Amino acid sequence: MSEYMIYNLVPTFSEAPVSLDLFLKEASQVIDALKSSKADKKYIVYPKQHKEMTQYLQQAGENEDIVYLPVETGGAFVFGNKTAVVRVIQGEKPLPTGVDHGLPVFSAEEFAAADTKTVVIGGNAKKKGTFTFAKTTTPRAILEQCSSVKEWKGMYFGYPMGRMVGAGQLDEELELTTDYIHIFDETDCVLDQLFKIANRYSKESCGRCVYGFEGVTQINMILSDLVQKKGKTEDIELLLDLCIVMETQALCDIGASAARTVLTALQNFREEIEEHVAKKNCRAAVCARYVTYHILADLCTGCTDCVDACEDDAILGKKKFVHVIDQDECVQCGACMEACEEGAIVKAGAVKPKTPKKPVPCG
Amino acid sequence: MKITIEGKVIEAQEGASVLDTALKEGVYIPHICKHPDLEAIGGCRLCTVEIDGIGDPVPACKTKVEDGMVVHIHAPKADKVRKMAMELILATHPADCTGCPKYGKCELQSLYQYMGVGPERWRKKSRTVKTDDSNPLIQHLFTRCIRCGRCIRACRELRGIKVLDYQKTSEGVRVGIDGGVSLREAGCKFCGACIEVCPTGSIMDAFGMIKEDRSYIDNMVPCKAACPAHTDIPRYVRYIKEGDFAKATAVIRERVPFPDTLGCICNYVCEDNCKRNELGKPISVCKLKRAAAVRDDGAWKSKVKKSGPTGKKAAVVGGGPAGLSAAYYLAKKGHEVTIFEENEKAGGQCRYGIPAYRLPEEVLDKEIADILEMGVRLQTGRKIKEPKELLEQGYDAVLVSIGTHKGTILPLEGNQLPGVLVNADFLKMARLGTVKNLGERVMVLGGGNVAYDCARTAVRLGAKEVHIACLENTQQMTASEDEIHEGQEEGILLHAAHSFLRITGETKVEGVELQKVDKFYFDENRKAVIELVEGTKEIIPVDTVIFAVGQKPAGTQDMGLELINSAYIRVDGKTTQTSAEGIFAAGDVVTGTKSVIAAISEARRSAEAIDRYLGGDGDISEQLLEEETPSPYFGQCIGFADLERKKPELLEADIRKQSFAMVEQPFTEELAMCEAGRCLQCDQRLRLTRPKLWNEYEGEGK
Repeated sequence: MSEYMIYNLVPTFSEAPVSLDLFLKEASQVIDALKSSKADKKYIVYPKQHKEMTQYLQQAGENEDIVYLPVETGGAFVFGNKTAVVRVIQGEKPLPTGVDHGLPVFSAEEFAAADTKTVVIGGNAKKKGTFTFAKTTTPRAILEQCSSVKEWKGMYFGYPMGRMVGAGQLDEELELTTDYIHIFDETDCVLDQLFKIANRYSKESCGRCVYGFEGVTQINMILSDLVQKKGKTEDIELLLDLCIVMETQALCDIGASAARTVLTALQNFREEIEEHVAKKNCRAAVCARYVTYHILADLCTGCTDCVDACEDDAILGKKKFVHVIDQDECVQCGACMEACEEGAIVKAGAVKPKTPKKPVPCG
Repeated sequence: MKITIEGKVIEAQEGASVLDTALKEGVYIPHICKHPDLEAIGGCRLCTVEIDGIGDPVPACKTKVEDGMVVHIHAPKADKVRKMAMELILATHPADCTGCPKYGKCELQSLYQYMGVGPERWRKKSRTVKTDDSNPLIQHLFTRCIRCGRCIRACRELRGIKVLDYQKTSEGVRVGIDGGVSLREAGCKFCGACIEVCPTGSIMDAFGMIKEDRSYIDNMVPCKAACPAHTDIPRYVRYIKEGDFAKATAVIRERVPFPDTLGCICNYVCEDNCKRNELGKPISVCKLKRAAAVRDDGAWKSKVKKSGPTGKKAAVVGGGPAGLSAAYYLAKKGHEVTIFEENEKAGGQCRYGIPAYRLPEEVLDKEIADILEMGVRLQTGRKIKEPKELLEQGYDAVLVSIGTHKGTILPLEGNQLPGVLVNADFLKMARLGTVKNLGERVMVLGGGNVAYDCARTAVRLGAKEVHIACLENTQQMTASEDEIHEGQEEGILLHAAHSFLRITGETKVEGVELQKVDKFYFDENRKAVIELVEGTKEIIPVDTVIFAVGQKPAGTQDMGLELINSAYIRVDGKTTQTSAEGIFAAGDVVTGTKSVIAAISEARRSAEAIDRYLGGDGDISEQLLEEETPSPYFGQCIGFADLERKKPELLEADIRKQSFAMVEQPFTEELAMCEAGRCLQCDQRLRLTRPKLWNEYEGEGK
C-alpha cells in the first residue's frame, strides 16, 4: 500500500486540459474511486484559475478524505513529470528530479487505466478539437479523423512524445502519450514550426539541468539564426550533435522531448530545413527573411495605401502609378500586403513574379 | 563490495553513489552541481561515466554502486557528454574571469581549466542580471550563476529556511526569492550557507565583510575572533538557545575562568563584531554569558584535568584577573603556585576598581574560590617590592600582574586642594566603606566607563548633585551607551564637550571652571587639539572633584625591570618575559588599562610561556564538554532578521540609587533562550564541507 496518491489534473498543454475535462465529466464516480483507493493520503492537484473546476468545487465542495491542492498555472510541461508533481504535496515548486514512472501520480486516463487516449488537435487541421484514439495507433489513423486544411505535410506529437512525423512514418505504430497534436499542411514551414516549438520548450524548461536548460537555449539560438537567414551549413550538424546527447542526458523527459523533436524534424524534414541555408529558400514562404514582397502590375491601382503603410519607405511610386517595392530597402514586415485592398501584393519564395522595375502609369 | 574505476579496484559501501565512492577513495571525477553536504540531482552531467553493461553514459552522482561494477571515467562517450556539458555552461557564463570576485577560488574556473574546454563552437549569450547589493551580509551577482542549484538545496533542504528557489523570468530560469522581495522580508536567517556552497562568484559575502587581514575562519565568525580570549561564542549561545545553561558555561570556561564576572562587566568587543549589526542590533552576548553562568551547576568541574606535580614553583605578584587566571592555568599544569596580593582580598580591579552595583562581591568570591580549589595558594596583604626576591626565595618563575592602581591627576590649577580625589582611590575606598566628607556636590572629570563608575558610586554614597565633565562629545565618549543612559536615569548631569580649566577654591574645592569645546580631535602627531568656544566659561560649584582620566601601574619603578613610558613593564611579545630571566608580566601592568577579558587572554599567553619555561608543553587548552554536532537544519522564521535585541531587567533608578545592589538582573531563562535564538550561527557555515578541487587529488596534481 502506498502512503499517498496524487490525482493530477494540471494539464501539460494549457490548450489541452484533457484530464480536467475527463474528470469534470464524471467527477462523482472519480471521487468515489479515489476514496476507495488504498493510499493513506489522497491528493487532487488542479489549476487554481480553471473556471469549470472552480465552479465544480463551489457546487460539489471538497471531499474531506481528499486534499485539494490548487497550483498557480493553467498548465505546464513539468506537470507531465511525476517527480515534479510529487514536490507539490511537499510544498515545493514542481521541479523534476528525474524520470520516475513508478510514482503514485495519475492522470485521469492513467487512473481509469484507459486503453484509449484523448488528445486535442490543433494547427492546420480541418477538424480541430478533442479526439479519442486507441492508445496504440498510427499517424494515418489520426489524420483520417482530423485531416488537414491544405495538403498535409506533417504532424507534431507534443511533449512528452516530442515527435515530428512526416509522410514516411504515416503507418508507423506509436503509443500515444501526449495530450496535444499539431497538424502541418503545405502552408506551414517546418523550420518555423520547429522554432516555435523550441521557443515553447525554453519557457517550459525548469532550469535544473545543463542539457535541458542550456541545450534548449542553444537549440533556440541556432534555430533563430536559421530562421533569420543567419544560419551556417554546420548548424545542422551542430544541432544533431547536441540533440543526440541531450536526448539521453537531460535530467527529465522535457529536455529529452525537446531534443527528440529536433532530431525527428531533422530526420524527416532535413531537406526543407537545409534549403533555408543552402538555397536561401523557405519553401512555404513563411520565414519572413526568406520571403520577398511584390506588387502585381495588373492589380495595382496606384492608390498609395501601401506607400503610406511602409515604415521603411521601401515602396516607390505616386498616385495612378504602379508601385514597386525596393527589395534592398524592404524588411519583409508584410504591412503593405495588409494595407492593399486590391490584393495586388504577393509574397514569393524561390519563384518570383514578374513586376516593373520602376513605377509606370496604371492601366 | 568492490567496484573497479579506471582500472582501480576500490572498496565501496552499499548504497553509496559511484561519485562519492570514487572521491572518497581519492579517484577524481569532475563534478560541480554535487556538493558533499547536499543531495545529488544529476543536473550538470560533468560526473558522467560509462559503466560496463549500461548503454548510455550515466551521472556518477546519481548511480548507486553495485558489486563488481566496472566504471570508466575517461571513455569516449562519457568524455563527450562531459565536455559538451561544460561547453554549454561556459556558452552563457561571462568570460571575464579576471573581473570576478571569485577569481582563483572558483570551482568552475578550476574545472574548465582541468577539462581544457571552451564554448567556441556554441552560440554565446550572457544572461545579465543586475547585481543586488541591497541585502545586508549577502550579495547576489547572478549574472555569474550556472544554475547548479547548490544554494537552493542548501537553503531549502539542508537549512530548511526556504528562501532561495528557482524563479522563472522572461530571461529564463534563475535563482531568486519568491515574490522578488528582499532577503529580510523573505525570512532569510543570513546563515551564509548559500555563499559557502556557491561554486562561482554568484553569491558572495557583502562588500566589506571579508577583511584581508583576518583569516577565513576569523572572517566567518568575527565575534569569536574579536574576543581577546576567543571564547566560542556561537557554540555557547546555541546551548543557551536550547536552554542548556550548564553546557554553555562549560564552553565559556574552556577559555576563561571568570564566566559570571565577565557576564557582569565585560566590555564585549564581540558584540561590536557581531554580524547581526548589519541587520540591526547585535546579539547580547555579554548578558547571555551571565545568564548561563548564574545557572551553572558546576558539571564542568568533573572534566577539569590537572597534571601531576612537576616540582616547580611559580609565584604570581598581584591577584587580579590576570594573576588569578595565570595561577589557575599554571596550577592545572602541575606547578605549585602562590599568589602574593597586596590587598586584603584578591580580585584586583574587579574588586577595588569596579563598583559593587556592577559586580557583586559574591560573584567574584565564588569564581576566585573555584580557582583556589585548583590548589593555588593565596597570600593576601603581601606586597612584593622586587620580584627578584621571589626567585631568590626558591620560586622557579614569577609573574608580575599588579595592574594599574594609581589614578592620574591632571596638571590643573587647584588639583592639590582638599576635596580632590582620584578614581582608583575613590572606588577602592567606596568598596572598603571608608569614603568621608564627600559633600553634596561632586564633579567627575573624564568620559569613560570609570568616570561613570565614580559618578554613580558618588550618587550611592549620598551626593545630591553629581556632574560628569569630559572633553569628548557624546559620540566620542568611550563610556558605553548603557552607562550614559543608566547614569542619566540616576540623575547624573553630563557636561560633554567641556574643557576643565581649573578647580576653584582657596582652602578646599569650591567649584570647577568649565568651557565649551568647539572641536576636539587628535592631529597627525596624535596630539590632542582642543578648540574652545569663547564666552562660555562657567564655574560649577562643587565640594569634591574626582579625576577619572586614566590609571597607571603603581610601584613598577622600584621593581628592577625595564619599563616603557616609565611605568609599564616591557615584555617580550612572544614569551611575555620581562627584561629579567624568569620574571614574566601580564595584564594592565603591561598593556595599560584595557579590559578584564584582555587581561585574562594575556594571562593565558603568559601561563603558556611560563609552563614552557618550567619544562612543560605550554598547552593549557582544555575540553570541558564533548564536541557535539549541532543540527544543520535551522527551519523557517519569517521576521527573523527583525527580531529585537532583548534587554534584561534593571532595578528602578530610584531604588538603585539607595544602595550598591546589582543594577542589572540576569536574563530570565525564557528571555535568554529568546535572545540566543537571534544568533545567526555564523560558525555553522564552517561546518559545511569544502569540496576538494581536482588538483587536491593524487595523480591529478599539476
